[in-house]
Amino acid sequence: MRSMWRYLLTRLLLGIPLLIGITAVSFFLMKMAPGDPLAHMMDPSINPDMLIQIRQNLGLDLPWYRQYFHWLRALLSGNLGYSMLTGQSVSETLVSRLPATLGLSLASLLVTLVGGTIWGLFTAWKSPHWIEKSLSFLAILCLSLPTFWLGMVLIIVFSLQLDWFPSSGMNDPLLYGQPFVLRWQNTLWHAVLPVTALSIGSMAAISRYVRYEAGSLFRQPFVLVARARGLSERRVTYHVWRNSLLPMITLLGLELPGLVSGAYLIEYIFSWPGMGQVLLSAVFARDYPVMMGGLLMTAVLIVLGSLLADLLYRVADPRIGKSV
Amino acid sequence: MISGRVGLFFRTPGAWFGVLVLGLIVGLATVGPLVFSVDPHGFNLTVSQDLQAPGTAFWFGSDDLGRDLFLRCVHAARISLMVGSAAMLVALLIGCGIGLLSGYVGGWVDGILMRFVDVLMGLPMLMVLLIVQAIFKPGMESVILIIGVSGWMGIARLVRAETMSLRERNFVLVARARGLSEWRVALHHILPNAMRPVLVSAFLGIGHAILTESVLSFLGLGIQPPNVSWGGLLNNSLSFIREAPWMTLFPGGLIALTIFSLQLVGDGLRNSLEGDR
Repeated sequence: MRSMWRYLLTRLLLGIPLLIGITAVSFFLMKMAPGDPLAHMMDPSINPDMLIQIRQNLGLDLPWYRQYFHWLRALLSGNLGYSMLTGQSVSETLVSRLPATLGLSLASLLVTLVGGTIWGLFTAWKSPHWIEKSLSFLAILCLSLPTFWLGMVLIIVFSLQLDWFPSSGMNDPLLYGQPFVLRWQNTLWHAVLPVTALSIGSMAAISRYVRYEAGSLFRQPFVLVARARGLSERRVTYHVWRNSLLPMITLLGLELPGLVSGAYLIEYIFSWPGMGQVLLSAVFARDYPVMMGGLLMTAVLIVLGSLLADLLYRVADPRIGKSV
Repeated sequence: MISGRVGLFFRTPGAWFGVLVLGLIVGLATVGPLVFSVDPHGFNLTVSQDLQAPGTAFWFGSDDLGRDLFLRCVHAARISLMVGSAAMLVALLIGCGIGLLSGYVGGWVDGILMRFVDVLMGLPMLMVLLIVQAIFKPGMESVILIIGVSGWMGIARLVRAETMSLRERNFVLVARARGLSEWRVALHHILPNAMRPVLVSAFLGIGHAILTESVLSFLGLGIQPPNVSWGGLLNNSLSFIREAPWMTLFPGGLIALTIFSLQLVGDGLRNSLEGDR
């Protein structure tokens, strides 16, 4: 148990240089950027003296590394600066958007895992059969669909043509003040299309993996032993499933950055009020503090996520914890 | 030998379909703009031709400015394929260089380079690319460059692994015993032998590069008008999704179809290369 905590601490400490690196590089890039952020929000006819004053007030006249240290110092007290467009606190804006993003991502992760495993095991189980062939073919097709385009196609088919699901937002504004359960139901209803669009690709990836893994696991000695001991086919499949789970956690950890980027695009397409929507509008408007804060938050999420995947890996396979 | 490989390739399910579709798309991209020489970017000022549904006049329909979507797709194919392949080439160059260096030299050089690769692979690269594109002036060269520079890590890992196993093989020892320089051994003896699995992965990487480019262009931060790629055609399709769904369906469908057939051909290549190992 103690080694677990030490491991956790080391991993967290290793994450810090990564985060500092990300922020330093992105800050440097932004400072090199042509174009003045002030130009976005100022009246062109403003008095030049006043412009200099504003620049001083915002600390924009300092060299970039001093601006960076200012930003970093503020960060340590939880302050990510203020949006150049709205003047709102970046950390407050992002934190208020965090639940929507986490909800969307975790729901997709769950659908991906459950759906991908079932898909893969079913394909492996049906092995020499036309169903297996068409399911593997379908997996390649689903892998090839661009997530953002899939989102738009789902809107066209299921929202505009069939009118089954809403095309944008997270809940119906008309339901404001209605009972909690009703609003929850409404949010779930809104989540169906974005979660589907986000999960299909990674679900196909997982299914291909599980299918391959399960196929080779069925030929392993431990399966032979299990069968020789007279275990039922269902128990054997359970053993295979447990063992294919392990490398899948690593795969999920690897897919995480892509999944988050995909989630942000899906938020943009479906007007889902999450961090991605904020980050993308900041990119369009060149709102530097929001861009930096958003990137940093995203990086923190990914570091935490891959840490969680590592911990899960250790829980699933106790051998790893003992050797370190 | 050759026929065996080709046989293995075509025995992969869907490989022939991939070759067919990919050939069609590449053919359309190279010959198409010559055949359909109408200026696809020219505005059509007759208002009645805006947002026409697909039909005999416009095969893929027309966009909000009355431009023929089919013609625009044909011209965009050239740019999408070109940018995707060029970006992959950049990634291939960087990946081979870093992977070879890391695998051949080993030691602390390898340690540092691979930690660096780990860090890069943990980044939400798409968001980083968007921010970089928002900061610098987007253009075709910058799109190719940044997609290549951000996508070499997988290739580097592959080349490194291959190099490390090849380094201990007898023919490399012989080459070194003959007194050849380290450069020559690495570039002429190890690299060509390490390329086999790398080429398949690079081939599949073209699809990924096309996808990344399409996202950038879709958000208006990639290829800039008057040049247009498939992703660029999708740029304002979201605003017309109700009136003109074909503006979404056709360009995006071409992206998906291209990536799909690249995947099928890649799978076939992998099977035929691994088959005789």
